[in-house]
Amino acid sequence: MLYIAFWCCVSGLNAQTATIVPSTFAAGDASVARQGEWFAFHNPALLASENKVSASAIYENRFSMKELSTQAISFACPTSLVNVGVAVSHFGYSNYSELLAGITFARTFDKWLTIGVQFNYYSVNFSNSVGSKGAVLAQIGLLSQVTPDFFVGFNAFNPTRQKVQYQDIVRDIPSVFSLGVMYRFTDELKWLAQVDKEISSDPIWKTGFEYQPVSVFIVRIGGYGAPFIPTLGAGVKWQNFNFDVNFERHPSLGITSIGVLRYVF
Amino acid sequence: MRSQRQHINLFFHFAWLSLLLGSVSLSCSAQTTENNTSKVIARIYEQMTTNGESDIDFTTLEEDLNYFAQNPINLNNTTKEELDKLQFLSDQEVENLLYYLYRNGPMQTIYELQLVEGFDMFLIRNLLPFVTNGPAGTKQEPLPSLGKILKYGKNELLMRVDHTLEQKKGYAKTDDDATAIQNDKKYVGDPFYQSLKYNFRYKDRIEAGLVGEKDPGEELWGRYHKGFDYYSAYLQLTNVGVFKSLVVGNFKANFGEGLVIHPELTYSKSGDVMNVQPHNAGISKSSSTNEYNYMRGIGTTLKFGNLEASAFYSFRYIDGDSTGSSFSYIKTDGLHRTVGDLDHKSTIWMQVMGVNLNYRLSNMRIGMTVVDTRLSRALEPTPRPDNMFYFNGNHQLVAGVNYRYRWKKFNFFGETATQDKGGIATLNGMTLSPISTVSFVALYRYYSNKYDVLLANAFSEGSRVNSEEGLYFGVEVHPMRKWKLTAYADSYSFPWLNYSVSRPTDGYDLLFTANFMPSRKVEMYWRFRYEQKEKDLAAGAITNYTGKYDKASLRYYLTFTLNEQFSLKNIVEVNRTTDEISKPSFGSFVSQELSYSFRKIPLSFDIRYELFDAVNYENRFYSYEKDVLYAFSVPMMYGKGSRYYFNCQWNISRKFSLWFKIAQIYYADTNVISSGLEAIQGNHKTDARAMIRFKF
Repeated sequence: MLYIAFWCCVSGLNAQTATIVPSTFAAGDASVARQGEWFAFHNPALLASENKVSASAIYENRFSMKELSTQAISFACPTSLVNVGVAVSHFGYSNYSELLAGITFARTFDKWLTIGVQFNYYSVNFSNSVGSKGAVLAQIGLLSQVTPDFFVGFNAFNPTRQKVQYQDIVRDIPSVFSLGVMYRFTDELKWLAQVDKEISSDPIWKTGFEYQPVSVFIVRIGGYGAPFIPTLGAGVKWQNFNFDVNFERHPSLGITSIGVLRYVF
Repeated sequence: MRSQRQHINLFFHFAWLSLLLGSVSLSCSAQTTENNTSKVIARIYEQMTTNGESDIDFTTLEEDLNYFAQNPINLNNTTKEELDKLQFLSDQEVENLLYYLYRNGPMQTIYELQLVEGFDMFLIRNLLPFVTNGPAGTKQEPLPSLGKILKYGKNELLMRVDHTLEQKKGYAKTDDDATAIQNDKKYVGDPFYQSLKYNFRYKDRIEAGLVGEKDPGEELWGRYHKGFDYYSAYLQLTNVGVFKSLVVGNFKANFGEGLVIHPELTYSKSGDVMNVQPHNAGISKSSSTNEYNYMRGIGTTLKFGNLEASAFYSFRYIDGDSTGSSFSYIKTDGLHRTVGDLDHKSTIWMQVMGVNLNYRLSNMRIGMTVVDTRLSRALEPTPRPDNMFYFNGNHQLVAGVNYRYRWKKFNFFGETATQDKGGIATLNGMTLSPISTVSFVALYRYYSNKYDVLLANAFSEGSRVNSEEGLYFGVEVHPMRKWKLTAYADSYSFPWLNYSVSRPTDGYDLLFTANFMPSRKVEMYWRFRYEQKEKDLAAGAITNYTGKYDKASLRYYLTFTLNEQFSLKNIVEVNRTTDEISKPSFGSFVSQELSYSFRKIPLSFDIRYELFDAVNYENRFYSYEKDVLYAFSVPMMYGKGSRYYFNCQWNISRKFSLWFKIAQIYYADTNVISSGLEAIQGNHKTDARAMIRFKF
């Protein structure tokens, strides 16, 4: 079971950009055009919409197996010139682990054009005997406000197709291109949709709705992929704290959960 | 304060509804209510099914709709129970309507329907023939004397005959008919279907009826059987004193989400994506000719303020292969055409006792159901790996708790049940309409391996409420006037084996429908459906391999009402199926229907011609056909060929009406239709059906 789950993860079958990149709590994991909040290692252009300093701690547990968990922290800092973010993520266990660290810059030039770039360092620890190998990879994101309520987002993760190689072992780092939209029916209700294309895999569609019935509570419903993976999540706000959870159900492998605690200074 | 934009929207909605109302009233004036009802039922069927399930039984729905077409529901004086009878309304839509009336008071005009949250033109069009806005607060009248009830009640007598014109093997002459019958090589009866149905209704307070039916091949009068093969009788009193309902005879009991008891039709996944909850009619009469899904005895619901208490007792016989002290399966088809069938007829008695308590608060309802089922002999299915968790024994005690709770724009619902031999089933869901143009539903179900209840019928992918887990999402969006988009996605898994599935499997299905009503004369939709499941596959040397298979289908549906007399309907559908070891196969289906109602004579007819090409069984098509009153025809088309039918209704006088239908299917790729005693030598099959109704 561990082997199957692990293989699904590392081969990118579950629409994950990479095992190292934590999922988002966005409805249906459709985050690329979700204007308003930045998710570490997802569309860097979203960082431009952060207008307060914030820090986030992320924990993702795939298929209820601690060996397949990801821990991440991120920090966002808006400045008058450009918004800056840093994030670090760790995946795996003693015999196999991955580390990803990145620094992000984002700026809105016009409502039509927000650009974000991110420089990531990826390191994989194959085993105690082999040791770690790493590579630097880039990430580019765009966000455009087409109408007051309609946004289009784009993200390219590892567009230069960097990989990690040690003797005969080659660890491909996925190159994923995401294109998505967000439509705001009202301030309380948003619809998200996107398509992810990893170069060597089939496209994956993602969609979901987010509804905020009261200012302190939000509910999210969505799904993605084939086999279809439904997602269900919720978030609460308390003073400067935001806490969001999201659950995904893979028909064979079970539940993946993610929890994010965010503090806005 | 509404914004200017909302006012403009409202104006357009009013204008559109006015046109719609105009068309309905015009057509009402020219057509019989049955005709109207059958059109609505055809529309509802198209909405509520995606696979064209052939065993769907709309008898109760059609009876209620026919009644409401003649006696429309007064929306200003209605109840949830009354609105629940309009089964095309989802539970949330009923709640929204009642909430609107509670919040805004009586409707001043029927145009207000469009202001009810979640009510769109498509829904209102179905609803309009059956509702009105009358005076509010009318109290329930006490029942008059028996003489007045009999005088002012409405009686209806229906007689129906069906016949397949080609001879089936089971009716063919043999050298020794008596021996052939004894050896199950020939049917005991004639090839005619016959039924007799009598209904009495005094407003919505008293209903009584008697049904007699014989299927083709069953004997009406002779050596093996005398009289109809199946009889049903019922008497139902509604809202008499503390009795909310009292039924003697054949009845149905529907409570909760169906995990404990729900023998009637349950709306599961369908094009009507929001309608996923069963309609809890509680205790109500059963007038259907379905020979399995009913109870026989007495049932009542008492009302004490916010508390409703129901109790029922049923004792009836069921069919099974009884030998000694046990039997291996329950025969549910109701067919007793051979000596073998007759040997299995009514061999086991089934006793069902149950109670339900239901307590209502302003925004919450909580209920509890307990059902005790006993069989005269133990049910012991033939052991197979896939059925090792099925119920076996002669006693089953089941209990469940159900709830519904409304908070702001959320509606939560669910039921959790268990049985005496262990096992648990739970179904929980939520509907939400954050804004008037968008609605969601989410539903999670978990049925453990050990949970297998004889009378359960709840939301599921499999045919039983057993060994399944799944999550269903549905969404309905009205992006702009005249358009409606609906979609659902269901992801499920079976933790144990299924029939012809030799390992635990999973699957999912997706549906997307775009409805468009450009004018009052034209309505159309495009529907895409994709399903992926697993089953045992075999091809060449490969056997005992469980692999994935999928089916994708695309349907275009168009209705065009030229005027109040003439309308056209077209369906074009294509599908593709494939599995892991076979090449993809394709199917196609085209249908053209024409309906005409004469202006000066009370005669209407429908003609349809269909072409189908579905060489593989997996590519088969179903198509709902209009039929005689209270008959439902959803033929399956598989192979290559064509089908046509002619259906007409003639209201000879105010009291007498006549229906007639003839349908023929022609196969281009076979010279033998069906198999066994049902086999027809030839490449065509012709079914004729006639019904006469006498109202007095």
